Amino acid sequence: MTPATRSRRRRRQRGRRALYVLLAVAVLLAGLWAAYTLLPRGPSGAPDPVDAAGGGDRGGPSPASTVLLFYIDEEGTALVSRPVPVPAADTSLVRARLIVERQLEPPEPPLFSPFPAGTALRTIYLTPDGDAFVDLSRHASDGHPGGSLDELFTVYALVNALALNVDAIDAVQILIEGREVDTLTGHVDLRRPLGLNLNWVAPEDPAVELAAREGAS
Amino acid sequence: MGRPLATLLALALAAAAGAAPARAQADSDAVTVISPAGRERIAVVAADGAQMLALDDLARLLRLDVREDSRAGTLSATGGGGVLIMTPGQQIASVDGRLVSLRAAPRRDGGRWLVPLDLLTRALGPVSGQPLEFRAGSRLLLVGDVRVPRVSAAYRAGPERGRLSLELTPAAAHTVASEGGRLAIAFDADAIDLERAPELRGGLATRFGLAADAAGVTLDLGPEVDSYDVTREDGPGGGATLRIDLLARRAVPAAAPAPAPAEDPAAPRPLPARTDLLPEFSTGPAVRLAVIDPGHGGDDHGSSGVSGTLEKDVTLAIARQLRDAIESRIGLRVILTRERDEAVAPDTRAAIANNNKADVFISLHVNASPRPAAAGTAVYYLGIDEYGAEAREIADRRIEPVPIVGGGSREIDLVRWDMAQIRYVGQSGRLAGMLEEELGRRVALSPRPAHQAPLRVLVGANMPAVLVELGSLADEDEEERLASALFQADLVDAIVTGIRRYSEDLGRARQFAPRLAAPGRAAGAVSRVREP
Ligand SMILES: [Zn+2]
Repeated sequence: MTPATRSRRRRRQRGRRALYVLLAVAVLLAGLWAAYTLLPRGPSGAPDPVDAAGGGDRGGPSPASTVLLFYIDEEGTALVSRPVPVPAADTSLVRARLIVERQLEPPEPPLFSPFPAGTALRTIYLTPDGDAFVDLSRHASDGHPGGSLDELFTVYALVNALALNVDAIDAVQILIEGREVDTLTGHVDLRRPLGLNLNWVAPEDPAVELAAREGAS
Repeated sequence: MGRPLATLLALALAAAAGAAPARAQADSDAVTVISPAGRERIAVVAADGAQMLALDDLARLLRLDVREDSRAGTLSATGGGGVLIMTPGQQIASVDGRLVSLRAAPRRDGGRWLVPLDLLTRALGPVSGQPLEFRAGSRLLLVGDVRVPRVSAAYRAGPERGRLSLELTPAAAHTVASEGGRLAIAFDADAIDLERAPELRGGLATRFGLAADAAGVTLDLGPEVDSYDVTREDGPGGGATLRIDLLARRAVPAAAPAPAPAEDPAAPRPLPARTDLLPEFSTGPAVRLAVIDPGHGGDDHGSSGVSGTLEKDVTLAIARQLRDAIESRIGLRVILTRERDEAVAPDTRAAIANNNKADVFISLHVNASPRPAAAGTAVYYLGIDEYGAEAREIADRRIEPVPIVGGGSREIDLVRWDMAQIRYVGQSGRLAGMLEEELGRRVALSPRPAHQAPLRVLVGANMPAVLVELGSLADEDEEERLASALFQADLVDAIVTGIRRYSEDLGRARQFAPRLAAPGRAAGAVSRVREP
């Protein structure tokens, strides 16, 4: 074997080794990709049907009662709460559904609804950890006028309506047409469940006092 | 040939081999042993073309019980993890019954036994029952649980400046002390493994060396050194980079000037000197690079006004004016996250700021409230409550980011990259407050001018970041105002002034730093110290 053939063979061997390394990396990446896409993750991967049916529910039946729902005030500068009656419910999931459906209805003038016209509730999922996933129709984002302030009003009207009025719910994540979304119109981060936040509500609002009382108990 | 003769011949050969002198190697070939008990050097000798160590040295260091069985003709070493059996003259040893091959056979040298260096890694680890690591490059033998980060040192000399960079893997806390013209940089470690040391040719740094206790390095300073800056960056991979900038007497910037008196904002201002040759040594204002993010773009129009004005167009137009004004009036560099009408993902917007090591990130938007009372400008920064207990814990660590000489030395703990903003919420609030004040002097503020909120585009920004709502398009009056050159100039002037105030504020904070005489612990912090 001449030195030239030896060096050629060595080069070939080196080339083959590089090919093997590339192949191994490709297989590894494919595996990771498969694991990433196939494994269920987060709520938009199929939520547990037991939870959707209310089985993972923390709370039991609730009697007919009055809850505080949230609307944009006359000036358009804050959320205000209004007492609204809701019927009795067998489970927290049913109560949550009744509350969201009522919250999506337009308020009496001069208040404004924080939800674009046509916004409908598709499904609610509850987890035993107190997270609610509220799946809204596409109108909630497509029909939204945009702007940070109005987007905050929309998000926190819904979050507060559930977190304040349903014992089994601590935090709410909004889904659109069954999917997790980054934002409604480019501002408020919707990638994780959000908890009760009364910063957008005037300090003298009854909701603030109610939240303080519930927090103390 | 009869058996007795063969045996005799073999013995004679063995004796001859044993008699061949083993030559002590140069001291640089010695192995440095680092154990919880301390460090020591053990000699290496060359024999049979292999590097050999004295077995009694290893027995003492690794607490092995060595016995010679003259009847069986074997040599055994027993440790906490098992038994090693070697046979003189054989290149094979047994570790708990498992055979390992050796570079050379154990051999007698005077009154001691010599064993090959590779016995350390092949056999003695399991036998001694404790972690054993041999680093061939630096000839370090690590015994037991010792922390010995690898350190790679480099030095760059610039005009009137010099920079020593130390890369640590894994990271270890550091202290920097100065005594008699020498900087001592010590690490929280049993020793360091100095993989690379710089060649110095005098000037600001005259000599680089390993510290006496081997757990740090020393740098001898030339007489012209006035002060030094220590900055540290902890990488996501568990390593860290420490940079020590030496500044010559003349090169030290004067104390931050008092805020300039009010003057015609349109009048040109002298630009701060730029040091383009060595940009990392630039010691201009505390804020050097601003990233301006024109909201929305492409198919995402954002909000829209009754007469057809689109949020994406207003934000881009004002961003361009802001860039010109910031660059010409306060001499900072500005990068826009989009230059034209195109869609840019929120993470990309933050990434542009992060990759360019921007000092501030300002996202521009226009509200859409149809209710006139809600019109006006507002400044938002990130709220952390929405990001859970983890975020609150990170924010509570209160490591205030301080812009430093060198640009890229912010603290990056093991914070999830997509929540980088959490560390800067305090600073972002200050920036938001100053911008709000300046806006309030020139244009109408929204009734709720400063807010904390979970804003998507801010979360990943690894620097102080705010979102400015410039006004409201859905209000007809304001839509008209937003389109007017005068109103736009007011907005731009307010934001430029806010950034300048923020930068000066940080510059002043920098002056309160430890003096060189007091050796300060600089771990996890950025410090500026000055020779008395
Ligand atoms: Zn916007």
